[in-house]
This record gives sequence, C-alpha cells and structure tokens, in this order.
Amino acid sequence: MPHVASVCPFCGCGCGLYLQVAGGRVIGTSPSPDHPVARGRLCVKGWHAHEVATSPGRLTRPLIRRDAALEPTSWSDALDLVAGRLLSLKAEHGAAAVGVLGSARCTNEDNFLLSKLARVGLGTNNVDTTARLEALPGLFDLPQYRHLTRPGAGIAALDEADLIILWRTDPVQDHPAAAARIVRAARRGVPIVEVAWLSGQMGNAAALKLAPRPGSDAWLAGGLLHIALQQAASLSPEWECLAASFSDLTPDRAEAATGVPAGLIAEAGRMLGAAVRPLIVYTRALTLQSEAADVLAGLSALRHNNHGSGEGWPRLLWLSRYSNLQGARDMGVVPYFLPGYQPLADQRARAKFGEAWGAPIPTEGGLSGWEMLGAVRALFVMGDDPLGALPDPAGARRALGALDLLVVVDTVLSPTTEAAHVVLPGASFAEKDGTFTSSEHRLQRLRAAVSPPGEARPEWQIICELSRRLGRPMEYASAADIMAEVASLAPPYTGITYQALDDSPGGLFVPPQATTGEEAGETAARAELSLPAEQAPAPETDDGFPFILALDHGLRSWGSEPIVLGSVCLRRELAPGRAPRTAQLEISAADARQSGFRDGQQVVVRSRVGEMRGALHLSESLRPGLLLLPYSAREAAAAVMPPSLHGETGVPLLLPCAVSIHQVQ
Amino acid sequence: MREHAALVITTSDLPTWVGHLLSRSQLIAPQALVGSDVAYDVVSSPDDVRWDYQNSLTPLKRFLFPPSDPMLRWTQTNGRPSAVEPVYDDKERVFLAVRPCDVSAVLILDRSFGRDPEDVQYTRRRQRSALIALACTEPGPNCFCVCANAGPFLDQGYDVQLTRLAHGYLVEVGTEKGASLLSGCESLFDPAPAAALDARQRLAREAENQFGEDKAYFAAALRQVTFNRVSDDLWRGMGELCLGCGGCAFVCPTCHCFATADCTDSGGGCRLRLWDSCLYEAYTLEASGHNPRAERGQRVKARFFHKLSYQFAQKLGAHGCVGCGRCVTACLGSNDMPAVTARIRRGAL
Repeated sequence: MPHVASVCPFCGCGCGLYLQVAGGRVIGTSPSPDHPVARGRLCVKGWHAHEVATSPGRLTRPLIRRDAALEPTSWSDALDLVAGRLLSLKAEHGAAAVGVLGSARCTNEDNFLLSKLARVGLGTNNVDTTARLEALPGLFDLPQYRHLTRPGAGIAALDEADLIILWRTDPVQDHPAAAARIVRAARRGVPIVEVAWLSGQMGNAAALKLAPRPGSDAWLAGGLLHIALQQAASLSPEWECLAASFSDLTPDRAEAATGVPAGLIAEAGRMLGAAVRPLIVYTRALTLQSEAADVLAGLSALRHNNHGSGEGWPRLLWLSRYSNLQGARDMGVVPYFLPGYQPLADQRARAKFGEAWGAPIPTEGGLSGWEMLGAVRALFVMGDDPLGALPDPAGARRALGALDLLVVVDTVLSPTTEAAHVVLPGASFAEKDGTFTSSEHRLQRLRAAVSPPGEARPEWQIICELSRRLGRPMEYASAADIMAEVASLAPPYTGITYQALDDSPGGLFVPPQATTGEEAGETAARAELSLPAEQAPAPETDDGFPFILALDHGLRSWGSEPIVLGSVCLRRELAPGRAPRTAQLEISAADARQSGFRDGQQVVVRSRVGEMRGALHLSESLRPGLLLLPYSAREAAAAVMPPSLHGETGVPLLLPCAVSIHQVQ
Repeated sequence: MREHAALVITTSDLPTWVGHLLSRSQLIAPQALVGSDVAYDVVSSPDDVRWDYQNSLTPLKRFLFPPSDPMLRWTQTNGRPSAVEPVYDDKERVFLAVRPCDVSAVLILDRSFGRDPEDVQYTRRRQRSALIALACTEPGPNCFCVCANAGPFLDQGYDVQLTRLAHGYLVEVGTEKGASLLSGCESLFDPAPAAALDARQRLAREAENQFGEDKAYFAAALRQVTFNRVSDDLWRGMGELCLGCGGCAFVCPTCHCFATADCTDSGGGCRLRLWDSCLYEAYTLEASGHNPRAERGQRVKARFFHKLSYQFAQKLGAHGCVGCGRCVTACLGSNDMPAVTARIRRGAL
C-alpha cells in the first residue's frame, strides 16, 4: 500500500500523516485531512519527515570500537560482546553499576521492553530517559507535582479558548500544529498574551506582551492572579484561602519583582479574570526554569475557580518537544515507576510485574538519567542523547568517557555515539510498527512502510535478542504482541489493541489516572501555595554587571537535533550555514546601540565567576537588559554560569546570572 | 474512433473497462484512505477506485514530479566518480478520475518543464501518461476553479473526460491517446445520445452555480500584483500569517520548485531532486550569507508574484493557480489563495 498512515516523529503534538512509498523507498509525506490534530496540515518538519528515514547518515551495520575507531561487525558478534560485558560488569560491581536510557523518540513498545530489560534482564531500576528533563526537571513524575499536568488540556482547547496565554513558548517554532490554531483564534479576535523574553512570531499578533525579568515568572503569575481574583463575584472557601496568599501582590509590587509595568500586569490580570475559557500554553522553556513549579502551582490553582469560567476551565496545555516523551514515561522509563505509573515502592505492583515477567523486580530504587552519569560503569542507551539534553555537556562527556561499557542503539550518529564502545543500528519511525503517545495522551499507531536500511532492526527486536543472551528470553512475534502485554499490565492502556487503534483513526486517549497518593499531594501542595519571598530572586545586576545572561530553550533549538541534521531540507532550514565558531548571543538592539556594539561583534562576557567569548546578534524583539544564549550553546557558558542543583530533583540547572559585556581587545 | 467523439458507458460496464486499463499500464486513481481521506494512488483492482470523492488533498503531480526523485547515479572507483548514468522512469501510466483542476495544472507543468532546456525527467514521464478526467458535478466547499478557468468541466486538455450521468458516464475523447484507451473495449461504449449531451451541458451549468461566496478575486489581484501596487505593509502583514511550513507549495498542483542533494555511499551515489518551497527562509540564502528574501513578507510577495503576475502568466500561458482549493486546507497559517486575493483587492488584512 503506497500511502501508509503514521504519526509525525518530531514534536509532541502528534499529527497524523501518510508516508508515500514508491519502489521500496519512502519518497514523501502528506498530512491527513481527517486527522483531528493535523487537519490536513503539517509544519516544515512534518512535510520532510520522510527524510528522517532516507537520511544519508543512517546507521546500517553494527559497529564496535577497535583502536579508537568504530568498525562494522556482525549482529551476533556485537550482541555477544554487549551481553558478555554487561554480565561480567554486573557480576563484578553489582546490578546498580548498570544503567539504561530509553527514548522519547522510540515507540511505546520499544520503551516497554527496555523497562523490562532493565528490571528483569539486568536486575536494576536504573532506567530513565534524559529527555524527561524537559518535563519540569523530572518534577512532573514526583507524586506531589503530578497534579500540575493533570487532567491537562488537549490541543482542541485552542479552538475553544477565549483567552490564550503563551507562557514562554514560541509555538511557530516549537509546536506549529498549535500555532495554526492560535493564528486562527487571533483572526477570530481571541486575545493572545505572550509572556517571553524574546518575542516570537505569535507575539506580533498578541494583545499584550509581558517580558518578566529572568527568575521572576512566579511573581508575574501571582500578580495576574491578584487582579483576576478581585474580579470574582464570590469565592469558595478554598479559593478565599488561595486569594489571601496573593493579596499582597499588587501590580506595583509585581512590577518591582518582575520589571513588567504595573499597568500591563493589571490589564493582563483583568483579561484573565474576565475570560470564561482562558487557556495557558507552556513548554520546556518554562519547565526548565527553577521557578516552574511555583508558576504552575499558581496557574493550576486557577482551575479551582469556576466563578465566571466555563466547565473545566481555565486549562493548562503542556506540549512536549518529543513525539513520545509521554509514552516513554507511561511505559515505566522512569526509575521510580513501573509501567502505568505503578510505584516501584508498592509491593503489590512489584509482585504483579514480577509474576508477569518471570523474575522478581529489584526493590532498590533506581537512579535518574542525570544521576546515572558518573555513578554507573555500563550504560545501554536506546535513542537517547544525554550529551544533547543534559545541562552540563562537558561533565556528561567526561562521565560517558569513563564508562567501562557504552552501548548506543540509534538511527544516526549523535554526540553520544562518539563515546560509544558499541553502536547498534535501529529502525526509524517509518520502518517499524508501534505506537506513540502524544502530549495530550493521544495513543496512535506507526506502521512499517518500508524495511530498515541495511542490517538495521526495530529496537524491540534488538532488546529481545540481547535479553535472550542475558538469560532472560523474551518472545514476541510482533509489536502488537508487546502492546497486548502492555494492555494487560499498565492502566490506562488496559484493553488497547492494534485492532482498536485501527478502528479509531485519530487514536485513543490514554490519560494516566491519579493515584491516592497524588491526590493527597495535590491537597498538600495547594495548602502550601504562597509566594515564598518578598522579592523575586533575580540575579543581582549592578553597574559592574548590568546585563542578565540566560539560556533560551526555544532559540534555534531544532537545529541541534541529530534527526534534523540528517535531513537535507531540514538541515538547510533549521541549521543553515556552518555551525558558528563562537556562541551567538542575542542582545536587544536598543542595548547594543546604547553601548556601541554592532551586529556580529565578537565580545567577552564576564560574570562574577568567569568569562566566555561570543558574537552578538542584535534583536529588535528582545527584552532590554538581557543577553540570551541558545541552550545548544550552553557549554560555552559553563565558566560564566556554573550549574547549580535543583533542590527537589538534584537536576543540575543553569540559572541566569549578572554579566558585563566587553569588546575583544 | 475519431477525436472529440462523445460516447456513453453504463455504470455496470465501467469496472470491465477499468480492468482493461489496469492490464495495460499502471493505473492511478482516487482511493479511500483512513477515515474520509482520499488520495490518488496506484490501483490494484477496479474496486479500489473512489468515484464519489470531491478532491484529494495532494495533487497528481507527485507521480510526474515525485517529492524525492533520483536524477542520476554514479559509480565510484578508487574514490573517484566513474560512470554517471541518468535515471529515467519510463513506466506507462493512466490517471483515472482525476479532477479537471489537476488536468489544467498538468498543462501548466507541461509548459514550464517543456520549455528550453527541456526537463527530460518530467517530460519522459509525461509522454507516457494519459489523463482521464472526471468532471465535477459537485464542487467542494473550498473549490474556486471556476474563477481560474480550470473547471468544473474541461473543454480541452484531457485525453478522456468522464461525466457522471444517471445510469452511467458520458465519455468525451479529446485526443488520439484518449481514443487508444478505449481500443479493445469498443463494445462497452455506445455513441452518446442527444439527451446525454444535453445532460452534460445542464450539469456543467448547475455545477458552476454551486460555487460559494468564497471566490478568488483574481482580476483585481492580477492587476495589483503585476504593477507592484500592493503595499509592503500588506505583504509584511501577510508575512505574519505565514508559518513557513511550505505546505502551500506541496499541495499546489502547479508549484514545481525543487532542490538537489547528492547522496553517496561506498560504491557511488545518486543525485536526488527534492521538493522545495519559496516560503522557506533558506530557499534564497546565498553562499555569502546574504538572503535577498530574509523577511517573511518578501517571501510571500515572491510567491504571489509568481502565481498572479502577468509576467509569469505570459510565460506559462495561464496564471499559476487552478482554483483547486487545496491551499485553503493545507495552509498552516492563513495565506491561502482566496484569502490573499481578497486582501489584495481590499488593500488590507
């Protein structure tokens, strides 16, 4: 069949598309007009998704490092080596010395088997994906915070909302399927409010643009709530209590904390209070900030105010950067959850999986992806790129280099494969059956349109082969067989079959159910909701260090993705030209003019702890006083903004800091 | 069978004819996909053909000008390219039940690819293709072919045109190639009675009357674009409504920009032709780093200059839109042809 229905492999929107096949090659894609997310439209990435499969850089043979170079070998030699080394390292150092990283771009079936491989094949709960960092540095999966994203709005909410707040997201770059709906909403007269340092294309259609100082988003959220609450005619007791916690945050005080003019805060607050169906859209540019939990706790509290609002409104819409981050988490690629968010600590859950998988589930807690580096001796990585994801690439590179064994399964070379001892060629989304779960929990089928190139194989088959060599045979005839096991073990996938998915062209919704523990966590979190300090902990600027340097997770971010770099047209569009030799620093044109800097000028940036070099890029739409660096260039800033650990998750974060800019002498 | 013959075939005989076509060449026709989706695709049985569709989202150009198409291959010995061979696709193809807008669009592609220097990659495929149109008796909600003189019924350009009647189809043969598609099956066709020809005229009139209010204001837009009277502010404003997906170019049956890329492996390699879009920022990026169309508004202006200006219409014999309405569905932003021509006419967003 030359039109094969599938799902876009890029972001978490989950657009339905067709792969067009001719002569055994995928030659093109087209959107599905009937698909509820795509509606006959795709973004630049979707229109070129077939180039992910036909990339000239595809890995086609297993590779083993010999004398510093990766050399082709046979599957049996590669897998024998991997199994032998894993068993000997485990025997020597214990199961805790082995770690496994799964993928936000592989299928649910691949990830489910990977979780199983880790827990019963290798006997460790060290299983995670570093892509999970973007989901509120791992906080989304802590019981006390999971309510922040639940029940969560779907993309269709963009069609119904009467106020859309884009909280640090540029949907044109990040999630074009959402942008398509926002453009139409704006044309209908729905007001758009943009909260951003660097105004994006949607900002030009925005009724209001708010540019809070780095680190002060929670104060802005509180300021908006303060005004919105004043408009409520009556408040429930619970809401009264909440209102009290924001009662001091007048627009003037919010201005002092955020730098946003009080008039704008008051106006945005009034819009929020007057809207019947307000929707807040947020992505990793917010959730990778240290204050993300406070912002979301404040905004999600709005959900409990139904005064003047429609049923189920206001809503929060979270959109992931990855096609299947949601699915990877659902499948238990999280150290402290078995598939379906069944807590590892729950003895009954462990017994259930132990019985189904024919071996006891280890009780010892696992390490997160960012804790594994530096702590384990062997790492098995499937479609994950820790060097691309982790805040401290230099530290990650050292940790990977020190491993006794690094095995990477992927479709193309990535920064992580550079350190690998063994590289195994996997299948792209166009070459395997399986499912993705989008950010709005839409479970959809991928279908193999062509065979993998050369000797490449679907990841789940590689895991089965490896597991057999580890003495834990896994027998699955197809990806559908794996889904049958998922459906028997992991609610809310209960009852899911490929037949049921085939019968529902737009997929099926599989939102995780709240556990009792989470509900308790939600109540506790709400009770504690208040602003923790008088003043936002903004970096201390002074005459010596007048600018704030911050990382921007949206800026030119697709251009550093290995699957984008492998595609001819996308590489040209999203990563044009050669990689700049120096870091590109965005500076507001007004600041540059005032300080006498010109576009492209080489500069030295000094903070109180160190210095870096970079080239200035003038921007008319950047908040004055800021200097922005793309996340992909973070390594260049390591001396200026050393990582600090997030209190609850231990995630290293790169926090904004005060800097000065100097001409290169 | 002489040209311009008018015949009829009964609905019950139609599958026999389709089966006959299928035995002679690759047959491409509208087919049902998931849900209500329909696309032109290779048919393996007469039952595959969807006769009651409005239009497919993607045009038939991808069979004549594929999104990713090898142009030449080379072999490599001792690290140097040795033999270089062009790659041609000489398959015989019949396109069945294609919409008049798509047939009109192929005629525009013929002129563009056929100009000196001839694009052999395209013309060899085209010479081996036959077009059987299915006249539109029920235009779709986004259709405006009537404004572009490209439908809903064709007067020329088809090899065969079918019109659905009460109990069968009127079969108008437009070319010798069309006549050859009926040879071997003559017994299935009868000369068209006068009533069938009257019905065709009536159906054509009724179809034209079904077009909605959302027509494309080509006359005003052609003048304004040709004489560069559209303000830069308006282009800039429309630039804000373009999300740079390139979808308009890919679903447009007349767009035919492409890029090339060389893919090498150890034994040689091939040069691929890949669909490209003038709305892409790097489409006009020069090696020096300079981009003459760095702003979105400039790119939108360039696109519609190519679609609507007299300068281009003169080259192609028609302006570059056949009113298929596909860009209305596919535009991620809000710059479909009817919307843009309406904005140009009123001089405001």
